[in-house]
Amino acid sequence: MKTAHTSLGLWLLLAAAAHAGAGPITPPPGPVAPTYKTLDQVEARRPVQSLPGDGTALHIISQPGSYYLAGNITGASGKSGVRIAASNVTLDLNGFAVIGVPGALTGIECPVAGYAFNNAVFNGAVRSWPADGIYFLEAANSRVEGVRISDCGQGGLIVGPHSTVAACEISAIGGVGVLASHRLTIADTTVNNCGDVGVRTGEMCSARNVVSSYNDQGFFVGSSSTLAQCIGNHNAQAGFAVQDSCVLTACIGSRNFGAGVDAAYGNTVTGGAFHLNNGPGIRVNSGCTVSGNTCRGNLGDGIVMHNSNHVSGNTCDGNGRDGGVAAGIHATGQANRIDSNALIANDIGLDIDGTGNFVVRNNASFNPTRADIVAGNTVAQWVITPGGSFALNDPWANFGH
Amino acid sequence: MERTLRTLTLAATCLAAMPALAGPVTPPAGPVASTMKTLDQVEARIPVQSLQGSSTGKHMITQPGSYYLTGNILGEAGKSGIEIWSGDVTIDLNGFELRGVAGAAHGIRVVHASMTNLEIRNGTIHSWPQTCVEAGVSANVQLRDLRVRASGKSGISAGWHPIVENCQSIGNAEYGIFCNDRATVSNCLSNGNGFDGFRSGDGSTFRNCTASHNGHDGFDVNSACTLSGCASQHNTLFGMHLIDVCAVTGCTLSGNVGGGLEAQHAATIRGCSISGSGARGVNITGTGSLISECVVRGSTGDGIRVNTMCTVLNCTVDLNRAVGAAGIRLAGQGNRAEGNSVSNNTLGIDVDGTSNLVVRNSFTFNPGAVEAAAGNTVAQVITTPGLGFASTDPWANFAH
Repeated sequence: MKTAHTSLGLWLLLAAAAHAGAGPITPPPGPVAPTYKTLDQVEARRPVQSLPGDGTALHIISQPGSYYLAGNITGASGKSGVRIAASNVTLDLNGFAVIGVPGALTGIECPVAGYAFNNAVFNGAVRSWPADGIYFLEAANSRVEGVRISDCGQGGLIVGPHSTVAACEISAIGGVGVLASHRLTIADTTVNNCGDVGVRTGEMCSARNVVSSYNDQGFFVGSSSTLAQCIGNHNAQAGFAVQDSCVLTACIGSRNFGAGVDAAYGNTVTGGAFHLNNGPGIRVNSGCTVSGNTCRGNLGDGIVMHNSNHVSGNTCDGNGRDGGVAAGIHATGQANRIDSNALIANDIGLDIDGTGNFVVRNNASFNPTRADIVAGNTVAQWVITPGGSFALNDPWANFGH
Repeated sequence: MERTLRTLTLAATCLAAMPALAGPVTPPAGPVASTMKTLDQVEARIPVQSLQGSSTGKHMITQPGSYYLTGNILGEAGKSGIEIWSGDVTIDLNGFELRGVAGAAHGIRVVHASMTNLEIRNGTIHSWPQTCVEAGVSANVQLRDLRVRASGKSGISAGWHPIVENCQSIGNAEYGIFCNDRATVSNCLSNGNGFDGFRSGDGSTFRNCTASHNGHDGFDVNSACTLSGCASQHNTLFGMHLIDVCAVTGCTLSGNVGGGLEAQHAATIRGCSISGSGARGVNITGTGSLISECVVRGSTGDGIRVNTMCTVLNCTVDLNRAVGAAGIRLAGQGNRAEGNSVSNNTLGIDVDGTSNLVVRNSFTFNPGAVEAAAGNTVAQVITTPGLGFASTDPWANFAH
């Protein structure tokens, strides 16, 4: 029996040796090197959950680099969720949520003395933090994209100068929805149900395709900003409050309890629609161009202005609704040009309180009072219902019809 | 005892074999293959850090393909961080940073013009003694979601017909973002650079971009470019400097020291707000441009100055009060100023050249409405005709 076992083992050994002998035994040239990826190469970024915190933050990112969530993060009382204490950090929420609890602080924060630079957060949710959702006020050149922020007690998203916000949804915030220092670029974002302003920025903000509704105020933007295709509806104050030298193109402000647009000096407001606001549709101070807008059914004036504005080609219809007395266009100051506007079914078509204004080529119909204009203005004659096939040798005339 | 153990072992072996006998024993068709993914299948891209370097680059990409960073890259003296020696390459910075050191070269460098069709995205590049992204020789480069700053030369040099989206370039010694012809640049920001914020060649498009506090122009673009929804503020030279046949729509320019906007020929400037310029608000040095529905306010020089064969239409020109300046200046020949509101300027419209047409403008609070040299066509200025005035003159200017 023992002999038999020995023979069998020898036979197997020879068979294995014969198989091994079939291939090359010369090693490849060069130094020995791994041929497979390591797990650290497959996922090179660091999971946030592996990072320690301190007494006021669950996890702290203290070095530049790329980080990701490996699952949801649930807050703890007295602590923020993630603190970024470095520049050049990218945080991928990886589709997960950073969820606050009562007594906790801020969801994601970057409270760096001086400034941090070049940080980014994207792809996930931040909600239910008693303080701010994301606080990056001391982080310049930040980027926040694809983040859903909701149910936070103070601010939703607060970013420092030169930041970019894209494709975010911010809702149910106790304070301001988006608060930015100067030179914010924001696009394709919605901000709803905030206790303070929906989008509040410093100067030189660029906003495109941003919706800000059911907030205390829709937009409050600093000087030299551009807003295009933005919507500010159903806010407790103005849809848009803009400072000087701003450009609003094709924006919509409706059903706000304040004005549709409230603009200061040197702005252009073109191609927009401002309807059913409890204040005026458009209010501008001085030196503005207001052209090609529709202002309809506002409780206040369709357009109200102060000094030196150029208001042309607008349609103001049905303003002064619900028992208010308002005008299609109302000039409270001096030196305005009111040219080629359509004034229809307002309490007063045209109301001019100041002097030195220039009023030509407008048409008015169905206004109980066509025009109420003080002396000292330059106003072309009103030609009233001249009828079919009329001919007139006055190119400046205003028409009542 | 030994027999009992053998019996039990045999019985156990038979029991274990029974389930195996219950299934098919024929192997599936085809060659034997694994059913699990390998790590190379899970992450098929190539880590940049696994690539060898050279005397000029810490890592070299020499083959087409998709690459990614597995950590931060710190520069070395005399070398660029990544050198690209191939076309058709995508690099995902994967959120990491490339940080330069003293004596290093570029952050990322495309070596030769034949290396085209590149994409670089998602990370930060900063503190390189030369350019952070040097792709100036290349073409068809796409740069996305990059945050670039503090280079010794330019932040980004993107080459020919690039797409640059969602990038920030700040505090570089030369240009913020430099493109050759036919660039598409959107949602980018370029601040505090030593030269221009944005500079491009012909046929480029800029949308929703912001330039401020740059040492030269905010935007300096060649011919046939479009700019919309852009902002340019507090630059040392012009807010926007255009060559020929450019269209500028819905932009705001303020506080630019050298002037708001300067263009040569055939520019279309519509719906812009240009204020607080340190010299002229708008200066058209050439011919055939249209400026319409703009606000031009508070310039130190003329509000709008055009040279020849330009139209200034329906603009609000206000508070341009420097000595010798005018709200609108028609410097050359064949210009048309129509339908503008001109108020509170040192002089409303000043017509220096000949064969210009000035009609249907309105003036107020200017010490003078129009001053025109002989040889121009200027409609009468009807002064404060009062309420209910009638005029048969469709071209009249008004002072009110």
